[in-house]
Amino acid sequence: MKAISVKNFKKSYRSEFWLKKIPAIEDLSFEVEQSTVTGFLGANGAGKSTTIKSILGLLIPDAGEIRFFGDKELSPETRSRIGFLPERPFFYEYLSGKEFLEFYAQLSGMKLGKKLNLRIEELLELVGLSHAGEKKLREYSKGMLQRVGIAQAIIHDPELIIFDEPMSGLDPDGRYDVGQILQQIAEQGKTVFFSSHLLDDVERISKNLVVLKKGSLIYQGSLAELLGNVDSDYRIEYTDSTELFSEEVKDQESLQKRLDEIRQKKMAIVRIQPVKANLEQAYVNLNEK
Amino acid sequence: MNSLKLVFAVAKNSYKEIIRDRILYGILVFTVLLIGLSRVMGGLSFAEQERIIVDFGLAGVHISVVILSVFIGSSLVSKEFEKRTVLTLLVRPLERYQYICGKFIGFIAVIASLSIGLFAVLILITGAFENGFNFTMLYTLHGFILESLVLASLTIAFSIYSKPIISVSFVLGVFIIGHWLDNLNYFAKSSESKVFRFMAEISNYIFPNLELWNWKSQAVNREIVPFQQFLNANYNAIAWTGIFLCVAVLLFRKKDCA
Repeated sequence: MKAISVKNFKKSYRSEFWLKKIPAIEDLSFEVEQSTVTGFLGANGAGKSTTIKSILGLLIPDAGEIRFFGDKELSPETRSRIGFLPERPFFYEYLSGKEFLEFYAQLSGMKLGKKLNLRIEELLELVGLSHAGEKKLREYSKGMLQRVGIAQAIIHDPELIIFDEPMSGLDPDGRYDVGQILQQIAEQGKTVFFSSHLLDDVERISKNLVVLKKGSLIYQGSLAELLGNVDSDYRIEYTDSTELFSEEVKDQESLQKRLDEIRQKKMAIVRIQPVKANLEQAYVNLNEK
Repeated sequence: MNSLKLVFAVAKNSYKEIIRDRILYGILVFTVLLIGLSRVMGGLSFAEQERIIVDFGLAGVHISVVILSVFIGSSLVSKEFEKRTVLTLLVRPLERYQYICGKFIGFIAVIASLSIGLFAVLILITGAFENGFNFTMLYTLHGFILESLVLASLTIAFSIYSKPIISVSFVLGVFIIGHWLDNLNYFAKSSESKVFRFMAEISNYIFPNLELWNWKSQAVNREIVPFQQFLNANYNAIAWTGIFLCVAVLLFRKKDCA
């Protein structure tokens, strides 16, 4: 079943009331499978946040159809099955961590009481904030806000969780921790759809990708498939018995040609190593197409 | 039932937000000082001491309620857009009209609490005088709250699309016109200009007459407010509040929350 299905979605903006509308997303269609982790890639301004906000009904699309969990519209019932963390979240700074989570739990239809208190404790532990539940959010660091933001997104145990740039602006430790939390959520069988322009993180966490370029889809599919399409490089190490040389060649044909040349020069081949394709390379190739 | 719970949750958070805001305490201190000043001003008069205290005191409460309705109301919703807290709220099973209603109820609860608190301070001061307190003062307090309902709903409607400073300017404009409508009608009746009379007539339909809820002079002069007038004033306030809240909801339904 499809957790999200977007068909022929269009959205344009008017920067000023009297100016002409500028298209931000043009005829976008993609799907997100249930119980998968899907990375949503694109350069700054590609339309990732616009798409996410439109999926969630925060922006009103000009055209197109957005469905959830098969063919359900974005009704309050559907929203109770979705969790969301926006980019660079800013929450009610006058609330403590616990009050904040309690408020969002109530908005998701959960009842106040022992069960909810336990759930809040459990989540604060999951995101590593057990010590800060009573602190006001104004005293939280950026990383702590991101963590408590993740906790509010999953407090009602949603099936689909959407994160907009969850690792943006965090230090390497924070990025790693948030990545770990996302993986833990995914291991529970939830559908995770997250946007990012940090390719290492996307490669580490997601199995599927949706890639946007200037408001249009340029790739949808598995990460493995995308990496498989990239021509692997090969590193050759050889020696003339006085010095060790190393160089990279692009593909099999170039590799064979270069090996012949080395042998003709009577040099010894020490090692031939395939250089694993990474997402960065694949992403650059996609954008160049 | 569930829908009411959601509205209540937003209202409770809105109440907490304003109560924990320092600006509120600034307004509170200012008004208490103003009420205290009424005691000093009263002392300057031999015969009209109580009247001056009641007049000044009620004016203090009125000013604080208006300031609260307009200045805090203008940033109540727009702050949520600016800080983007609205993004995480509206993805919950919360409809946009429930959000507006919750915000409004929380806000009105603060205004009512503040008005009652300040009124209690005023009673403490006037109660020290023989004939200082009279029952019409309670009507006056009720009138302030009715006026704040209308101003707060109007401020929220304006703040959906405009920045706080613009909302404040608009609502203060409506506040001035609303309190001058009776005078405007008086001058229009005696005017020979058809255009002026037409404009005055139109103004009655597009601006709330805020003098309808002003029973300050009756409280000062110890007059009874006729019950029918009191009832009509209530209906009128509820109708204007309903209209402005509907406008706010309609505007908000079509708003992109970026």
